[in-house]
Amino acid sequence: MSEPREFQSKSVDDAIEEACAYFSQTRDELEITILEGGSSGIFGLVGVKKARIKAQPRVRLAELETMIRTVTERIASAIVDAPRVHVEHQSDLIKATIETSDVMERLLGRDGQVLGAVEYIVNRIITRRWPNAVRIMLDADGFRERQDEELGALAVSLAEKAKSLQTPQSTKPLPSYQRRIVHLALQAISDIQTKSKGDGPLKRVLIIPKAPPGEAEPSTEEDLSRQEP
Amino acid sequence: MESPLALERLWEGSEAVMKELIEYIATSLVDHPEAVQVSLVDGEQSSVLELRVAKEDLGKVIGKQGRTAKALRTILAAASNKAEKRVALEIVE
Repeated sequence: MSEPREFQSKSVDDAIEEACAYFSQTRDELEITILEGGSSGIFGLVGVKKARIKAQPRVRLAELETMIRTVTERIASAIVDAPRVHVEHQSDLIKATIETSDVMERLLGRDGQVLGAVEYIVNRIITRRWPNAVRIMLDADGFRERQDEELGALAVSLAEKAKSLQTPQSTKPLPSYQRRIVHLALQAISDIQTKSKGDGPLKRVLIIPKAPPGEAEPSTEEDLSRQEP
Repeated sequence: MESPLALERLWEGSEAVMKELIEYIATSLVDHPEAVQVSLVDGEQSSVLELRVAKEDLGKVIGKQGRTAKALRTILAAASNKAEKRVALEIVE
């Protein structure tokens, strides 16, 4: 009854009203995410699109936050002394930041491997009890921001390489939000295109040089030099 | 190797922390938490934690392509670092 649920209607307001009725809560008591704004189309005939929202009572949300904090602190306390976790909602994920006065490197591990392992286990534990919970991202000591910057820089250098060698380049397998960073970082660069490739949650991003006019499209499947950052 | 009693106690304490950590994570992941057993096989330089779960739950502690087991080992290695004693994880079928 209080798991997050999707509602559709002809407008966002109508969808929110439906959500309020469903949960018997006022608008302020619901955490609402607009998934699609909806469109009334041209003269209500062509291109009519329903508005879609996701709603969840805030009480449950507070409960979820407490659980994330408890589980993360419990696991992190075996690695560092007295970890404190702050939970923060972002549009499509929950960010949990671990603070400690202990040695930060131990919690991060090489290339953030330890943080990534804790993040994976926390996600597994939380989704067992909250099947619809959004993804949880763990952070510590500004690591994610540094990682995003480095990834953006790496994407640019791979793009340069793809252009100068005229061969597709590939990142290592990345989760979706990191692939997004690569795609965004290269949006403004001309003469290349980006594509995700692979199965499962981890995919590589291919950076493919666009053929100069008159030449054939370069093959994306073969002769792919893999670049491990 | 003889170690001072205080140091031995410290080791025992940190091994208990790691054992409890694995117990906590395993029971949080499986369908039959009552069947989770973690036992410590002690060695001089390093010890092994043996994790046993219900047969149906093996997949839950191993994960797709061993991802969960790998994450558990990474976390345990970091915890070993803190405790300054190597403890390996073995999932017993």
